Amino acid sequence: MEDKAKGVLRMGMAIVFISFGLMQFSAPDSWTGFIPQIIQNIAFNVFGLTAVNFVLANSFVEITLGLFLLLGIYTRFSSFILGLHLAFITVSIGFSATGVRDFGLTIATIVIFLNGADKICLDRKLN
Amino acid sequence: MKKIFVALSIVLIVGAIFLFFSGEKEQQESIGSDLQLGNTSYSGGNNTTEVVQGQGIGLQELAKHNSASDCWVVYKNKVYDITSFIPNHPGGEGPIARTCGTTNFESAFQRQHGTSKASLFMKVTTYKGEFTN
Repeated sequence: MEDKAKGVLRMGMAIVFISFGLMQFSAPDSWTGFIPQIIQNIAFNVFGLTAVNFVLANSFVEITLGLFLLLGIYTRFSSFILGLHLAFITVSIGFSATGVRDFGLTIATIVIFLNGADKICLDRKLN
Repeated sequence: MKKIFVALSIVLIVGAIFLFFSGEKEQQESIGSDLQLGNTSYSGGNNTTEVVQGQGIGLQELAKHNSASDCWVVYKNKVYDITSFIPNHPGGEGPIARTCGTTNFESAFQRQHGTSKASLFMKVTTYKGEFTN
């Protein structure tokens, strides 16, 4: 049961990240308001990325790492990056309904990182 | 080795899908080389001056239209009245209102949208004239 629980948690969180990535890709303009101004300035002045491009780049990362998580490839690495990403979002949103929800998702992602590869991960089968 | 191969395949497939669909989106929203006149009618606003469409508009005239209720902006050296669109802007009134009556609109617009919304901009604004520095 414990092994199945780890797998279910991993795949459930993977679906969350992939879904958010797809939503950002389909309507990037609706997500630009969530980018902190300082990040927007750095993205534009240093990398020449508009806010829309930044959202698209973010969606690419979330979908790719979400797929890694779904299949259980580089589980620790992908859960670490996604957990960090979500932690940053949680802090920038602050204490609100959305922030509290995102805090829970961050903790779930950290648990996946701490668990590492479960029995149904490709990590174990490809090693 | 197998793991790296699988991971790289995922990255490449997702990247290819992104590039394909992003390209299609850009095509649909591209403005081409000709700018079109906006077709939104506008009424009201303070500090209105009789401006003959197509005549040169200087900084002094532009600066008179500097609020959300009467907002002129400069884009590609042309002056547009964007007042009626401001309440419908998905990002709120603030980001546009801050640039009313100034020459800052174009840089703020490009930083936010690049060229992806240029054709929409043409549809929701009213062309007022050429900007003369």
